[in-house]
Amino acid sequence: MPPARARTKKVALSSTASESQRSFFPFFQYASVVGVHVILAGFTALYLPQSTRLFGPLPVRKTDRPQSEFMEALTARPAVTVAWTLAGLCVLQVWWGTWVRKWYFEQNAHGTSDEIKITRAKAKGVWFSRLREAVGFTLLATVVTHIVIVLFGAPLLSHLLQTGLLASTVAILTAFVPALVFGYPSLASDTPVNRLNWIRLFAELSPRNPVERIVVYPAVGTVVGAWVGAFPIPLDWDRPWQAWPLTPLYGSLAGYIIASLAALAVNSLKWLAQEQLRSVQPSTKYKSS
Amino acid sequence: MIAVRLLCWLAFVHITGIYLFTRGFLLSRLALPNKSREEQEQWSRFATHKRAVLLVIDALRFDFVSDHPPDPPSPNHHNILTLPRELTAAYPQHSFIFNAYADPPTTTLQRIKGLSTGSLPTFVDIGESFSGSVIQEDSLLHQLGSSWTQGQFSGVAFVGDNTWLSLFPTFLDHNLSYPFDSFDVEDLHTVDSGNQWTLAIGHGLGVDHAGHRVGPDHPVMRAKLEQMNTFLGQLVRIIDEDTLLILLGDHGMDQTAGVLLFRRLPYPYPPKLLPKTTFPGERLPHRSIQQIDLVPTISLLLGLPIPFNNLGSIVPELFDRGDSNVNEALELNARQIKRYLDAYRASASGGELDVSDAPSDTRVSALFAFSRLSLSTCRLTLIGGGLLVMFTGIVASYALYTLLGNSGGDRKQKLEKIGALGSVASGFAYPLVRDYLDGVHAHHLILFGAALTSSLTLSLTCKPRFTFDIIKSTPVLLILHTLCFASNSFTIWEDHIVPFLCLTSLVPSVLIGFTAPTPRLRNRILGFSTLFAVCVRLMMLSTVCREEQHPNCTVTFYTSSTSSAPPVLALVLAPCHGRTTFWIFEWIHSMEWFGDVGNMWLRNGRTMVARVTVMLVIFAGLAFWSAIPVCLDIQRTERLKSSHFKSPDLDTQVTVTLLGFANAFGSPYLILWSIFLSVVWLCMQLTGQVVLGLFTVALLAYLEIVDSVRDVWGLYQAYSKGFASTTHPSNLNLDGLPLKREVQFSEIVPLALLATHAFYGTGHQPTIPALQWKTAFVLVSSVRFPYSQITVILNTLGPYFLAGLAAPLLALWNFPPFLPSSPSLPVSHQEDVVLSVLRSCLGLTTYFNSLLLGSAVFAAGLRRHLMVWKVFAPRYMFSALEMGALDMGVLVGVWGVWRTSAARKRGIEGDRRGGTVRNWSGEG
Repeated sequence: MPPARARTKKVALSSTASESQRSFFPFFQYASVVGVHVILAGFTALYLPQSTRLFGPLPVRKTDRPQSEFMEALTARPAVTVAWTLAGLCVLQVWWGTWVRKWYFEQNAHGTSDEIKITRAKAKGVWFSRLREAVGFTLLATVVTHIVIVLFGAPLLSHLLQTGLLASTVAILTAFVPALVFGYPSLASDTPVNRLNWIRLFAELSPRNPVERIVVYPAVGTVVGAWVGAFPIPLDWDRPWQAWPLTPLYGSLAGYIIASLAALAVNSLKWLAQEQLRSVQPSTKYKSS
Repeated sequence: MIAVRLLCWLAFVHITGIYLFTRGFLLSRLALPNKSREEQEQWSRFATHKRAVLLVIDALRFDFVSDHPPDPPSPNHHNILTLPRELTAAYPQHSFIFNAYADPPTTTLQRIKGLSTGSLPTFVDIGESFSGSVIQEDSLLHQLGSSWTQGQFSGVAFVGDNTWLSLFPTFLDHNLSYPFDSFDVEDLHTVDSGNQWTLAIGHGLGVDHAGHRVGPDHPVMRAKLEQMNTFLGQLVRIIDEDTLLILLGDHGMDQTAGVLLFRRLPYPYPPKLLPKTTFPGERLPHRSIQQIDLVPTISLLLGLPIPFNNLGSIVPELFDRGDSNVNEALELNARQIKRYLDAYRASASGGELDVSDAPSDTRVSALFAFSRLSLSTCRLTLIGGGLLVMFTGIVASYALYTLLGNSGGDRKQKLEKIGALGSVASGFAYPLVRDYLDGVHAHHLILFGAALTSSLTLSLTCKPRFTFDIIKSTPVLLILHTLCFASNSFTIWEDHIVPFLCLTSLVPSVLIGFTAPTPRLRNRILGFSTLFAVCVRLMMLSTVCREEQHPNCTVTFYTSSTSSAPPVLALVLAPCHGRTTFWIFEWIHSMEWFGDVGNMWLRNGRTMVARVTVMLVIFAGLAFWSAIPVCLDIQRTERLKSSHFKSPDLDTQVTVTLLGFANAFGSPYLILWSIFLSVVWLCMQLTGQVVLGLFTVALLAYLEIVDSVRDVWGLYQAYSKGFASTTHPSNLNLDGLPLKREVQFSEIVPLALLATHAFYGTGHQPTIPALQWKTAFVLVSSVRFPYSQITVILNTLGPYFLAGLAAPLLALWNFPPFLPSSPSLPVSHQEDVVLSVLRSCLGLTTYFNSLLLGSAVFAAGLRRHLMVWKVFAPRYMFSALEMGALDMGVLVGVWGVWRTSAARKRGIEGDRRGGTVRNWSGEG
C-alpha cells in the first residue's frame, strides 16, 4: 500500500481542483450513517447502563434531593455504568470503523474499475488482521491514556478500575477508528509515511479530506470533552453524578457526538461548495472563452 | 536601569491597588472610646460571685474535655482532661460544659480582644499578631479597673501569655502579673494564695505549642493535658465558694471548649432556650454559645457593667433563678447593644448603618446590622478605586509586554518617558472632590491618582494594537484560573485544579514535540515533558488538607492529619545536607529519644546548623557569585598548521573552545537562583523540601522544553526561508541561526501555575491556620522580631519568590550570545537581553496581577456570601501576598541579569584580545 498512498498524498498536495474532480465520496450514505452512529452512541451512553437494574436492586441512597430513577441507574455504580458504555462502544466502533474504512478506500480508489475491485478485495481480505492490529493499538492507547489521566490528577492508587475503564473508553473513541482506517503508526523506519500521516492528523490537527475529518474531529472532541468533564467534580453540590469517572465519561461522549456532527457540517459545507463549483465551472469557462 | 525602575513602578501600582482595596474591603471596625457608665446597683443585682478565675488554654478543642469523645478516641488527647466532666457529673447544678464558637480570625490576639471587649474581631489586626497594640475600647478589664478605683473591687491578677500585658498595660496589677511565654503551673499557686484580686486570668500556651509542633496525636500532648488536669484539680481545691471558675479554649478548630464551674448558686436548665450542636465525630450534642457571649455573662455575674462595645448576649440559663431575672438581664443586654449601635451610627463611619426598622434586641439583628457597616459609601469608593488601579495595572503591564514583543526601534525613548508623568499629576484634585467622597482621605486619593494616571499614560504611550493575534493567543488557562475564585468550591480545591491546568498548559509543547523535524529535538521535548508531568504529579501527592476538603482529602504532608511530624517517605527521600539536617534534628527532638539533656543539645545544635547554613549560603554564595559571575571555560589548543592551509603570517592555528557558551546567560543566573533556592529550602519542612526539589527539577525540565520548542520554530522559519532562497536545508546549522527568541505569554503560564502548585505542595493552603508557625523557630529558639517573621514568610511565599526569580530564566536559557564576528553591536545586544528578560517578568506579574484582580473582584462581589471570611477574603489576602513576593523576586532577578550580562560582556571582551576565536561550541 505505501506507494499508492504516497502518490495520493502527492496528488492531494498538488491542487484541490483536480482532487475534487477525482475524489468520489458517498456523501448521502455518510450523512445517514453518521446520524445513526450518533444516535446509537447516545443510546449506549444513556440507556445501556439502565440494564444495570437487571442485576439486582440498586443500593439505597440517602440524599436531601432525590433524583429520578433514570439518573439513579446511571449513578448507582459508576464502574458498571462505564463498563456498559464501553461494551456498547466496542460493538459500535467496529461497525462505524468498517464504514469509515470503506469510504477511505472509495475516496482513494483510482484506476480502472478492475483495479478498484482488486484493491477492494485485498482490503477486505486484510480486514481481520487490521482489526487485530487496531485492537492491539487501542489497548496500548488505553495504557497511555490511563497514565495521562493519572498525571492530570486522577487518584494514583484508588479507583483503578474506574480510571482504567474511562481510559479504555477514551482510547476506543480516539484511537480505534484511525488505527482501523489508516493502520497503526509504527515506529519502524520502513513506513515513515504512515507515521507522518498520523503526526499531521493528530499533532498538527490538520485533516485534509472528508475521511480524515471524520476521524480527527471526533478524536479531538473526545479529549476536549473529557477535559471539560473534569470541571464539575470539585463543586460542592453533592450530586451522585459527580462521582468519578462519570463526568469525564459523559463529557468525552458529548464531545465525540458534537465533534462528529461538526465534521458532518464541515464536510457538507465543503461538499456543497465543490458541487457548486463543479456546476458553475463549465459556464464560466464558456464565458471566459 | 530602565527595567528596574519600571518594575519598581509596577510594584508601586500593585501595592497601591492592594492598599486601597484592603482599606475598603476588610472590616476595619471603628473603636469607639465610649464606656459604659451606669448606676452600679442596676448591674450588681445580678451578681452572684465575688471573684472569677478565667483560665484560657490556647487551642483547647471541645473534644478534649467532652464526655463523649469521637469514636475511636485518640489515646493522646481524648479522655485525659477529665476533671471538668467529672465535676459536671458529680455536681450537675454547679457545672456547665459548653461548645464555644469563635469568630474568625482565630488567632490569639483576636480572641483576646473578643474575649475582653465582646466585639467582633477584625481582619486588619492580624498583621499585629506578633505585637499587639493597646486596647482602647471598653472591656471587662476597663470596667473592672474603673470599679477598682472606686474601691468596690480588687485588681486583676494575671499569669501566662504576655499578649494580655501588651493589650492592657494599665489594668493588670503588676504586683500580681507573671507574664511568661509558656505556661508555668507553679506560679499560679502564688497568685491564688493571695486574695486581693477580683479577676485572675491565666493563659496557657502549652497545648497550642504542642499542637503546632507535634500535632494533637503525640505523647507530648497527652503529657500536657495531664499536667493541665492536675493543675485544674489543685485549683478547684483552692478556690472558695465565691469564686467563679471559667475554663476556656480561645481557639480550636471551629468549636472550642468552655466550662463554667460554680460553687455557690445552683441554677436550673430551662431547656427551651438551649441551642445544641454536635462536635464533628461525637455522638451527643452539647449546649453551644458564641465565645463573646461570655463577656456579658461574666460581667453580670460579677456585678459589673457590660462593656460598651459588647455584641454578645448573656447565657440565659445562668440567670434563670425563678424571679424572672432572665428577662431583665436580657433586656439590659439588649439596651446595651442598642446604645452601642446608636453610638456607632452617630459616629463618622456609621452613616450606612440603618437599623431603625429592626428592633435591635436580638443578637442576630445586631450582627446583621454590624455586617452592614462594611457597606458604607467610603468603603465602596475605596474598593472601586483599588479594583480600578489593579485593572489599569494589568492593562499597562500587558501593553508594555506587547510593546516589547513588537520590537520597535523607538521603544527605548518611550520607556524613558514613563516614570514621572503620573505621580506628579495627582494631589491637586483632592480639594475639588473632597465634598463628594465622604471619608476618603487625601493620601488615598493621591495614591489613586498617581497609580491611575501613570498606568493610563503608560498604556496610551505603548499603544497596544488589538490584532487578531491577541485574540488568538487569549490565555484561556489564565481566565479559567481567575474564574476559579468566583466559586467557593473551586477556590477550596484550587490545589487540585492548578496541576490540572499546569499539565494542560504543556499540551501545545507536546504536540509540537511530535512534529519536531529532528529526532533529537523530538526526544528532548517529549522526554522533558514526561519528566515535568511526573514531577508535577508527584508534587501533588503532598498536601495539607484544608478544613473544607474533608473528608475527600487525606493529609500527606505530615504523617497524619493530627500530627505534624514528617512522613517516613520524606525522611528517606530528603537529601542529607545542612539545611535538611536541621529538620531531621527537629524530628528527632520531637520524638524525644534522648531525654532532656540530649534535647537541649539537639535544640542548640539545630539552631546552630541553621544559622551557619544561612550565613554560608547568603554571604559566601553571593560573594562567590559576584566574584565569578560567568560560567565559561576556555580551552585553548594550538597545533601546527596543516599543509593545505597556506598562510604566510601564521605558523600555528589556535583553536579556542568556549565551554558553556551556548548558555552563557542562563547558567550564571541559575547559580544566583540556586542561592535563593537554598535559603528557601532551609525554611521548608522535610516534605516541603522534597517537593521543592521536585519543583526545581520540573522548572529545569520546563526550561529545556521551552528551549527545544523555540528551536523547532526556528528550524521551521529557517526551512521556509531556505526553500525561498533555494539553499539546501541540511546546510543550515542550528547554532548559527538567528532563532526566534521572544518570550510568549503561553510560555509564562506554566511557570506561574508551577509556582502556585509548589505553594500547595509545600504544605500550604490559603488559610490562616495553615501557616507553618513551626518555621518561626528555624533561626532562633524563641520568637524574636525579624528572624521568626522572615522565616515564616520565606516558608509561605518562597515558591512565589523563586518563580519570580526564575522568570528571567525563561528569556535567558540558551539565549544565543552575540557572535563577535557579526557586525551587530554588543551594546544593543545586551539591551535586547535585558528587555527580553523584562518582557518575561512583565508577563509573570501580569498573570499574578490578574489572579489578584480576580480574587479581589469576587471577594468584593460575594461579600454577602456565607464563605466570604473563610474562603474568599483569605484567598484575596494570599493573592496580595503572592503579588508582593513575586514583585520582589522579579526585581532581584532583573538586578541579577543586569549584573550577569555586564560581567559577561567584560569577560568576553577580555578573551577576545587573547586570541583569534574560531570555534564556538559547547553545551550549557
